[in-house]
Amino acid sequence: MSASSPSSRSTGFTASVWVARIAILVGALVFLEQAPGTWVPKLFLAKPSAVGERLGEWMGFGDEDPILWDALRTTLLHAGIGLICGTVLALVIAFVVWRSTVLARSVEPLMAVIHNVPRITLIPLFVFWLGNGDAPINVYVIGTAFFPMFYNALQGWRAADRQVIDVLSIMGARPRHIFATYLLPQSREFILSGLLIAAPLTLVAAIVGEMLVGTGIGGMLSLYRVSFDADGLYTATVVASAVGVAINTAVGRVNRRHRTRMLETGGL
Amino acid sequence: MSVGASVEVRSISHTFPATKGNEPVAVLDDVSLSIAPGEFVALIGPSGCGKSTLLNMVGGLIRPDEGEVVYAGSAVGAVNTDVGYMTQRDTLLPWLTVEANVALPLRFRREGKADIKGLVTDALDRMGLGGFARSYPGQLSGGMRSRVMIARTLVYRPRTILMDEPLGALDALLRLKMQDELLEMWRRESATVLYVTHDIEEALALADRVFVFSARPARVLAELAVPGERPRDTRREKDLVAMYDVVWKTLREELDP
Amino acid sequence: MIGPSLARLSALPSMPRWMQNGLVTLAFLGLWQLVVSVGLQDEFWVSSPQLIVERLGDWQEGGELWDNLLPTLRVALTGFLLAAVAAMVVAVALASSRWLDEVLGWYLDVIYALPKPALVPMFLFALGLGDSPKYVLVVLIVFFVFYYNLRAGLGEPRANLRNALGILGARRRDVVLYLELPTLVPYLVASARIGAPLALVGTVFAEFFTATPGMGNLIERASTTIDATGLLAGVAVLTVIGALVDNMLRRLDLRIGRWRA
Repeated sequence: MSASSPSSRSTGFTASVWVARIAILVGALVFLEQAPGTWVPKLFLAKPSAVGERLGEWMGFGDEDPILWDALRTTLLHAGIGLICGTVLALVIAFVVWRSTVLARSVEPLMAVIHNVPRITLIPLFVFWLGNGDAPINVYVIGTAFFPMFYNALQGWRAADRQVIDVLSIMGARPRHIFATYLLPQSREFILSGLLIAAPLTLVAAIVGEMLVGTGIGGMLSLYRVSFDADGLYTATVVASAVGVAINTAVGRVNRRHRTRMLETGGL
Repeated sequence: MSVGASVEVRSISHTFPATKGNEPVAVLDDVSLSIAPGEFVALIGPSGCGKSTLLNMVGGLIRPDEGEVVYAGSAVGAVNTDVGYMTQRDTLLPWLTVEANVALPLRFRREGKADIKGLVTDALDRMGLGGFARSYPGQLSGGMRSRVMIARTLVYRPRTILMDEPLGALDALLRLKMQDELLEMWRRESATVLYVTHDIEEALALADRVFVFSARPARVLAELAVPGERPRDTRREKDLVAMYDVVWKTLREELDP
Repeated sequence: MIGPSLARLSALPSMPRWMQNGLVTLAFLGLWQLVVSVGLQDEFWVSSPQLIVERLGDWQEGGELWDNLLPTLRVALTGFLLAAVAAMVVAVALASSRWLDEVLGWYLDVIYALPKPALVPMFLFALGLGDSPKYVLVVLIVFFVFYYNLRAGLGEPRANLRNALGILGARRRDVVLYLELPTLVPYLVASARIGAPLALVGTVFAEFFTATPGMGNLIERASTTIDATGLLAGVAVLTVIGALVDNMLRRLDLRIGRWRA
């Protein structure tokens, strides 16, 4: 997202940019390494070296339990399952709403109202109803993935060219033919863009849910915070950040290749 | 009444530098024109041959690599605010009302508020836009937006008016009507007009003289003085029909590389 | 019974949006109350509109409502404004220096990619359980909304309008006033519409964990005391506030964007 046009920049410019970037990074790391204990009370920040060490332990080096992989898998499963289920649900409901104007008139206002309720505040309620396991998290993540995909799908299908559909009908195509030959290929574009918007959101949603329930990476964040384990907390934060950056980078790459426009939804 | 300025283009050559992925483009090759005050001159030639660039130079928006533009006796250096510039593309500010748009050049010239109001109302009435002063450009049709641009151009009485295919976006019927209005306006203002167009008939209908340009890099291929009082019947007056053939033949060779 | 209701549904589109939403909300609330009153569901688990309204009344009298709502609104609004101003400064700075843009812009892109709610425990740890972590989260979220939108706005070159204004006699000041600022306005409004609800939700989320008063605090307490009514009452308040803010901003958007055909 930075300004482009590489041909007009000299190699000197590019070099100085990279030097500056690395300098900032190194400076930050050095500060973090030195600060605790000297400038800043020991508990506030964690040394990068300590973080690295803890990370190694979590990965299983030195005979420790490799808890990292379990946590990662839990979180990614929460996010992934929620994304897929939310997407399928959204597509089904959007399709039904699109086909039936009567249903549209009752469902759409309902969606608008539900969409207005701040979902995060409902997580404790879900926990209350569904217990302290995966269920409340899954419900929350599904809810997060549902809305962008629902609106995308509805908009995409409503933009479908009626003339094409009419012509196909005259040629003898049945609804399922029309769906297969026109609607489905045309939908690929917005389904993809919906997935790209929802993916980072589901990751964040999974972690948020886990923070309140206690599993996965979110659970680790909660745990180390309340047990005043600075190294653990910062290491977990680094892990969560890494996953977030990885997903966003992957999404960005796919985006650039397919040039879809993304909503700035802020990530909550 | 304002009197038009003279415009002289002396041996102008210009090349656009290379951009990302493109070669440098030579657009003008030793072009010279001499336009008398109050003349209506048409510039016709294939697309992209540099006619617009030439207009930009008269407007002071681009400095030519070689040669110079002499406007009313002095060389053009900075942006030339004594000209009016009408393009095909909409250059109205969409967030201002019609009357605010037309008032802009007067505002920029720091005229007094009372004077501005009067001049703007005048200009709008002359273009038949009286009732639309408070509308926004987005609410108007293409033809009306053209009229607003004309009003905005005339309100500050420029001595020269540059027009770059101003009627290009209009449908054929509207274009004929607007051509009449342009002539009407030109007669009233006595300004010098440089009119770029693709349409040979339009050029012959409107101009005193027609300059025919080659393909890029543009050179002046021919200069024709158009006979007859306006309004002209370009389809039936023999001289004009013959002239049309000449121009068309000249241009056709330029179009086939 | 279905027929006439369906027929009545066909009258819906002629109503304005707020009326449609209002009707649906009322229908939903009515159904909810019915289910609970008839005994299909236990009030303990799902509460009921009646209980919620009663609780809101208690809160209003006892002062809990405003003692918690106002701090939340204060934090959200302050964070929102801080973030907006910061984003404007940064966006303009980065737009004027290619070098700064390359160096800092890269870091901003990375920070944007971090899952911000996941950073909250770290904020709580480093900054305590007061208001600071709330501000940090809100500013972080809202900043990027404004930053990226403003970048897009600043990047619009609009060369032909610039040229036209030049010939009409505009000076630098005129160009800024009549061209550059107006092109930014839609981006600012869009950022506000997206950022305002996010500021609110971010504050509430941080309040789940902090000790100072706030709606999130209220909801969290209700949740730990297994108080479904309290929880839903809090949710109701936030929903209404969110809807009001969104409505206000939407009308601002329409008023400012009157020129869009």
